[in-house]
Amino acid sequence: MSSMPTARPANTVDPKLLEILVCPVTKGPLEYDAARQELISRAAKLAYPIRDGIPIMLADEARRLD
Amino acid sequence: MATQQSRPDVWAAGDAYEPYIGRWSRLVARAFIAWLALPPKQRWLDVGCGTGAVTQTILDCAEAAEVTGVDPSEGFVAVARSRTRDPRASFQIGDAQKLPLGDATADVAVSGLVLNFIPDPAKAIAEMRRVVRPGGTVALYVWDYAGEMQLIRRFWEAAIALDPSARDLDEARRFPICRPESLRELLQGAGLEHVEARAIDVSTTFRDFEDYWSPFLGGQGPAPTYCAALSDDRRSQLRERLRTMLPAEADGTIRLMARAFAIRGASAT
Repeated sequence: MSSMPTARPANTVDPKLLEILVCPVTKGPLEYDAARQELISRAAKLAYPIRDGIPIMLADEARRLD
Repeated sequence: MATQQSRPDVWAAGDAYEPYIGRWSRLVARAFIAWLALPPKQRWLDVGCGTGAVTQTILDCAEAAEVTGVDPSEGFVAVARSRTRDPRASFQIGDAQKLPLGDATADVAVSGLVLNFIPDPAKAIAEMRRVVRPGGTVALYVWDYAGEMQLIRRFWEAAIALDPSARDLDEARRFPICRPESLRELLQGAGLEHVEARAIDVSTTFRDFEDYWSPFLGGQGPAPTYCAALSDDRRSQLRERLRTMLPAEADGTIRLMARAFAIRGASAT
């Protein structure tokens, strides 16, 4: 697919981005769930989806955790 | 304000933005990055990256270590992402007032042509300041809607002459924050130091009237949103008024200028 070896596949999230991302609500840490493609904020009880490799860091778009 | 709420600005489809504002925004972005004159290897954050005009300019001109683009619109970010395969660029969907980034994770946070569309600009500036390291730079620019952003100014002059209620949608009236003194107060109010402002002027040259007019039919941004809501008759009237008032040269070329106000400040060390 890729002609540029330095480019990531289009559907994966940039590892550097995961290092700097925090929950926009609590500013606390996130856990990366690679299987579900979600970033989980335990403190906010929210799971932010990653769509096509792009984290959707909006509380309105997040899945509520029980 | 009621009109504004009942007819919100539409900013979603990236491809319509390019011929309307993107092509001019790029010119301002280049001058803005040059003005900042920051050293290489900085970690940049582009708040409200939209279709990536500023992000791409940083990648091209600033010798950045990395650039993170944040925007609330998935449509815009998809365009921004499709335009670059640079491994230094990454994108996320987020709100400028609630940035999903840790404290001091960037060296410089910038924002191009976005601030006035954010409901609480002071909150956005506070967030930009939070995510840059001590001594880092917060900088942004907005159009001079009330003055020399002529392609939009001329549009509203024509629209208001035909329909006084269009005044409520005019960015000049809605966004008093787009003045150097207001921007200065905002950055100083956020505790930023060494605040400096300047005007950035670019030439906006249209091949002919169609080149000027057709982007207003794309439905992106306040003026095109207004244009899309008009009846066909009213839209034709507006078009003809603009055609007669714009300064066309013999070959049809229309030369206007666009002015942006840029401002920068430093996070306290």
